[in-house]
Amino acid sequence: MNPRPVTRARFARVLCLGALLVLVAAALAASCGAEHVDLAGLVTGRASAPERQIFFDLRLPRVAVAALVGGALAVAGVAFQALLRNPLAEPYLLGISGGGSFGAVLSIVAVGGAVPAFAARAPAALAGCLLALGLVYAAASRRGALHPATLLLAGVATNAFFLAALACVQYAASPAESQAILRWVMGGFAGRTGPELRLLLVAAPLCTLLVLRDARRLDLLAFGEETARGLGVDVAALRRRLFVGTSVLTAACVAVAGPIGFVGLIVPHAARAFVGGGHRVLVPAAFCAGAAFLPLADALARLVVAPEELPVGVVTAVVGAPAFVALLLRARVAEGGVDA
Amino acid sequence: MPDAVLRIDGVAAGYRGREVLADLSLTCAAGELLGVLGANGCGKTTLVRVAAGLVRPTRGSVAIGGDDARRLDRRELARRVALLAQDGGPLFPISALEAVLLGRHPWQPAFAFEGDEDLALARRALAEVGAAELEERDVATLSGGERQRVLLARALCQGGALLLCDEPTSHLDLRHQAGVFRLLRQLADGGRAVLVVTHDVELAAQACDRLAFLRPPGDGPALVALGAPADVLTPEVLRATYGIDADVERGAAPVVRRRL
Repeated sequence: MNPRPVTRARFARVLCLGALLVLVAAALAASCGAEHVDLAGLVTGRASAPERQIFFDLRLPRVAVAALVGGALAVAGVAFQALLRNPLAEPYLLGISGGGSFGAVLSIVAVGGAVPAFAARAPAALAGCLLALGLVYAAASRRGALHPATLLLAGVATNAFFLAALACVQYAASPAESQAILRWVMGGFAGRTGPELRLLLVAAPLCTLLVLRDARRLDLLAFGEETARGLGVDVAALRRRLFVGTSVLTAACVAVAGPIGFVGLIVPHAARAFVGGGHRVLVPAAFCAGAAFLPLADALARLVVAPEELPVGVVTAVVGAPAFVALLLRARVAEGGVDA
Repeated sequence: MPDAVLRIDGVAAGYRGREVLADLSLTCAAGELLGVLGANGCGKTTLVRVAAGLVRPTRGSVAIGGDDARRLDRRELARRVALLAQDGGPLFPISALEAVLLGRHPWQPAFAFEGDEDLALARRALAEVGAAELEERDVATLSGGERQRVLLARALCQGGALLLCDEPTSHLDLRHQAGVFRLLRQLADGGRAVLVVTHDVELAAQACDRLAFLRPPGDGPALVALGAPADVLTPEVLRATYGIDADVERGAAPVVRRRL
């Protein structure tokens, strides 16, 4: 294993490589779909007006939304794994997705397809997420301290409750509504552009910076709670801050794209295999890895059954699960992973 | 004693109204290795937490480096006191060098990069505990003895005049138990105040300048005896502390012979 002190040079190197990865993935993702757009043509100016319109007005905003959601979910996953001291933790573990889904589903049944998707569903989903967050916080908080085990149990119970409520609503819904519910619950980026992008452009960088600010403290917390306290970390305040901050971030993602599974679990581990466990480089690396992975998964979802679309959550799981297992096997062989 | 780095005065402490430590006073001076012994549940870990400023005493006062611990913020406490806790260990892969660098946290801004000075300090700390060659190893793959040395290096890298070790020899074999005590002795001889909680009466008696025996809560003041090993390691103190019958063979390496 390489000793990986986080020097300024190493941080800059990870950031540059990450940005390059995101740019390449975004260009690739925006060029493919039902209509292929020639990237070289765009650069040289030979591309036709429809091509330009498809690329800049339709695909690029969608790619940007997918990239921000992917990056945000990966960062939230990193934070939750350190916060709960559990490598299996992911952003949806604590009931945020259940609450958000229930809110969105209620809005689907209430207003049907009459209102544009974002206008009705996103606020309802956001409200559902925040309700779940409040419930979990209230259940797990003991005199201002959030105990990881209690937090986990409260989150799982809250999620189960909202998913059961969702099932009830779906059971009573009309076939058309039921279809819309199914689509939302599987997650996707179809038609997500302007308002969604604006919400994420604020939420994703803000929360990522919040997590990054606490990166060193996360290193200490991952080492042990008593150790962290002995080194001057206010663990209770750190847990509160990160739980609320990353939950709000997750809520924004769920409100925009529905619950897209697997990204928040596997991307942190994949990034860790390349840059190690130190959070000061892991947080930016995970953001970039997520921001590269999700647009590509979305492109695949558009390509496989074009001109129809697969739910992107299906792609993230089908591609992500084997890739994840392969990575785990390789990391075990290399005993400590690769270096960056 | 004016140069006491740690001064605990009439302290009582506990959790949720249940008192674990009662009426405890002790000091630990620069250059002194103080062993704290006692039965399970008698408040040894609580004493460490109180001394580290992590648990507020319900009565009495704790002074670190001459200042009341209540008036020091977390960061300042972490600069004065290094704590070797009984934690489960790292959750994710981390090299020994990175683990030692964690000790620099109280001295760095919240988000900082490691500079040449930090790296030099971390490497010096690793060398001081004889673990320089472990620098690149994943902490999770270290043996128990190697791990404790790396954690001690982290505590050294943290600096501070007071080092608190909570059962640093549990899970270690006989050789490594002795190795840890030898290291703690060296650190004390180097000028630090070192307080070590342990169940190893014999090694503690050899290595420590003074021993403090604590009794479980509910039977009056926490302290059974405090003094040089030759004075306090007696069958009477062992009976009062642990409720056991034992003979003590005195000498440079005292032997405690327990009877079933």
